[in-house]
Amino acid sequence: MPDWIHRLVAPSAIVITVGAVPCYAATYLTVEQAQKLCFPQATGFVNADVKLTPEQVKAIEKDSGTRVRLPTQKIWRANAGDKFLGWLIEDEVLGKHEFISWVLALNADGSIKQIEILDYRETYGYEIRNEKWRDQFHGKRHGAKLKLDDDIKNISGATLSCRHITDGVKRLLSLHALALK
Amino acid sequence: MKTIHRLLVLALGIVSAGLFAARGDENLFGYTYTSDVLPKGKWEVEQWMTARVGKESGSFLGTDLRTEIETGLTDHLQASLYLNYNYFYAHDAVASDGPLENKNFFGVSGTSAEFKYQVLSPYKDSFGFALYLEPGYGTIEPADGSRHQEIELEGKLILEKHWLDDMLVGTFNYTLEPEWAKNEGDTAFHVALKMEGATGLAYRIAPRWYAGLETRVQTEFADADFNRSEFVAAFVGPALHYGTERWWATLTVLPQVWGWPDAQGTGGLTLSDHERLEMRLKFGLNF
Repeated sequence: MPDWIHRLVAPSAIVITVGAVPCYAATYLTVEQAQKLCFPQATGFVNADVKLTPEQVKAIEKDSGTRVRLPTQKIWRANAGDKFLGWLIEDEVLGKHEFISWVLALNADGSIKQIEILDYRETYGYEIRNEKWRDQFHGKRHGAKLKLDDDIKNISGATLSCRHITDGVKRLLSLHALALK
Repeated sequence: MKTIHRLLVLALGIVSAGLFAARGDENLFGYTYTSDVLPKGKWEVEQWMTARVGKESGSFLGTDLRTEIETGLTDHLQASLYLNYNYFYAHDAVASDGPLENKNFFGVSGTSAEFKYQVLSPYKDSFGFALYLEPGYGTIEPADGSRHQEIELEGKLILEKHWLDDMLVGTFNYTLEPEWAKNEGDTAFHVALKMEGATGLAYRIAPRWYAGLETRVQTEFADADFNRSEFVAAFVGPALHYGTERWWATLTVLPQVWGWPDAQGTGGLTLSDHERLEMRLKFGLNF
């Protein structure tokens, strides 16, 4: 065997050890920060987690057309004194490599107040954090189409993330209609 | 040094080269293509290493190495450029159609270009569909490492379908590839037509990890005559993929499970144009 191949072994081992590009997670908001951002006038957030029954899971899946991965959903009621402001629901959806953590804020009437991305660790598609893309969901209610390239614009290179967040919004609107109202 | 040792040393070398490669679009499978394309203006570099081992007897290692740079020309069209090079080692190797010359050399074969156009997205439409074209020029015969001139034009239809919220990915490729080859001493190019059906099925077993299965069935027609099949070879094996925000790696191991003709001219394993086992390791880096 040629000598040059043997000479590759030692430097290769070193290169593999130090040359690997590390991946990094990007956490943009904690849940507490997202609570304050979504409901700046709130004076308190009361835990209102929901553990879905199998029947509720089936009903939400049928209504939204998406799978329920987490039967227990972390939810908070946002209050300003005695006044009920709305709901904050924490969720995660599949990204290309990792999960995308995000929250959905609903007004007291069930319409979408806003969505916020907590963690995003994918190669492309950071634009889903842009206010312009997230604003597309503002005001939508249970029953809205919520379809990519229709009422929700896609982001090229992040179609999977956009699709899953959009499906997640649809699923949580179904959850609100069937389990929180 | 035994064949497997040579393989490991070469793998280490290629891993090193691959880590400094630029970035590219993510391949869940070693052989089967998905319909994804790079977004416009994004770049990727990939390093491929395919090791083919095992003829009828003796030692044989054919290594196909490719360095690829890829970019998104539009949001639906990506283009790539490849540099193709090989390492061959053969000692007392006998193929199904006879003995091979002893070999121990590294050589640059040639280049190819690749164009992939996404017609449908598996994330937005019922299934993904892409068209693929790869013209190439090579000077090393992959079967035995001999020198020749070859022009090829590979065309593919790529179909992709997802299930379980994109956790299960299935893909099918149909490939038709005319080749014009001239061996040393020939005065004219001879045409052959390669045809292949390949499938891949991968499941997201954990964040960043996909595991699955690939299959390939390949045949070639001499003079592009459908009545003159030169071989049929079928491969089945596991695929493993790991992807992060910045880089990814895929390993597929494909043993030949059936082939024609074998050394007796019947069905068994066909070990002239193919080997008993192929392994492909690919790395991609995004920027």
